[in-house]
Amino acid sequence: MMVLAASGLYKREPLVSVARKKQRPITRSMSKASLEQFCERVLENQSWQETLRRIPDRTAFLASVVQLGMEQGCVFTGEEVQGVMQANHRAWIERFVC
Amino acid sequence: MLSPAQLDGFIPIRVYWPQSRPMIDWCFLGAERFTDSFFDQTIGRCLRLPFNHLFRPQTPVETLLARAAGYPGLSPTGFIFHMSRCGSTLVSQMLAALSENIVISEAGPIDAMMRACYRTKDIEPAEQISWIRAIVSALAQPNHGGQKRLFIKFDCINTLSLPLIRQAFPETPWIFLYRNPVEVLVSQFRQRGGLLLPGALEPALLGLEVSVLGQLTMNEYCAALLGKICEAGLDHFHGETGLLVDYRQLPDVVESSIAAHFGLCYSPEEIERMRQVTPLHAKNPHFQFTGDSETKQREATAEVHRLVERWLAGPCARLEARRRSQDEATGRIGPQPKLD
Repeated sequence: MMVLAASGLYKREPLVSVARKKQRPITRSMSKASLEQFCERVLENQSWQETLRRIPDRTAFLASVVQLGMEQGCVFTGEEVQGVMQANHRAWIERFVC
Repeated sequence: MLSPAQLDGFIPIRVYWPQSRPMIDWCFLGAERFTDSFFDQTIGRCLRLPFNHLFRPQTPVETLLARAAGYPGLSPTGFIFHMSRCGSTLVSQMLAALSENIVISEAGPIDAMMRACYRTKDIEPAEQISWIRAIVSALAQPNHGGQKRLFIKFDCINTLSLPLIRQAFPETPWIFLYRNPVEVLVSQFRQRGGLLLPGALEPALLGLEVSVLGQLTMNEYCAALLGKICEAGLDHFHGETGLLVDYRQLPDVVESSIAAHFGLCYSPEEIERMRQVTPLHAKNPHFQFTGDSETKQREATAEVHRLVERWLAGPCARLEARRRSQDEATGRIGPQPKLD
């Protein structure tokens, strides 16, 4: 390895930038995919569905969804969840629009 | 992708067309019963739950078909067609009073599949019929113990597609409800049904030339469309599976002639449960029902009478004549229409 580094074929990176790459920020597309993945998992899990259906309060529901998502390794925000809910609601309201 | 089994408890609430094939929007119904006057009201109640705003499976029509094949719903017991504002909601509410019945009232997904041929021109009739059967099956899933009958009240404009429904469900008995056209038109002019507005329906469905449609006023269009609906109810009527019912025979006819036509015989207890809804306004059950035929006759303007004469008097007179001969032929003499 040291021979390769000296020859210039391998460029060793500073440890700090390697560490930062491992903690790269969650982009919007990543969290959207994460939320979609989470929703699919919930639809495959009756127990989670029953738990979430028992929550009538929207704020509590959002918090529970984000928490359950984190526990499953799916990272997204309450605002992103709310965005999906608003989009679905709009689809229902506009169902007569061609 | 979700499997058909994972849709247990979910029902289709919307059909949409991102491209040439329909997609289905599902919502969790759970143990809710369709006791509201209209399908959309029951869905509105379900959508109060935050869960139903986030977890809404979106599937292709193929998943709907697979669901119908693997998890068939109840076969329909009876269909209700009507010319609008003629007591059809009373009939459906009386039937919904019995917990053994699933009553689907003017469901958008059914209407969407019935008019699918206008969305995608290259669909084969057999495929559209499979879609109609599958959407009915998905809505007909028993979610309470003892549910054994399914009734569907269609939107008035679906009468124009009666032959298609007869192909999809040839054995299912159906009724066509009608009322004095002056009273129906007055009701529509007070509050127009959305699908009776010009442009809401595909012109081909009306069987009227586009050039003729373009010259009609909004009120003329409404009267012409209702006339077409009455003609459709009459043209496709035959005594074996169809029954014509006059508004004035309600509500008693529900527990007698309509029950017999649907192959049912209600117990005294069931009749009593159905009668309990009759004092209530069928569309607004928080209010008491009061007869309004006389009021509507007085309210009718010269324009209403002219439009009835032009578009509705003929078909309605033929409906009434046919109904009388039907009742005489089957021995179903009573109940007779109450005199106003």
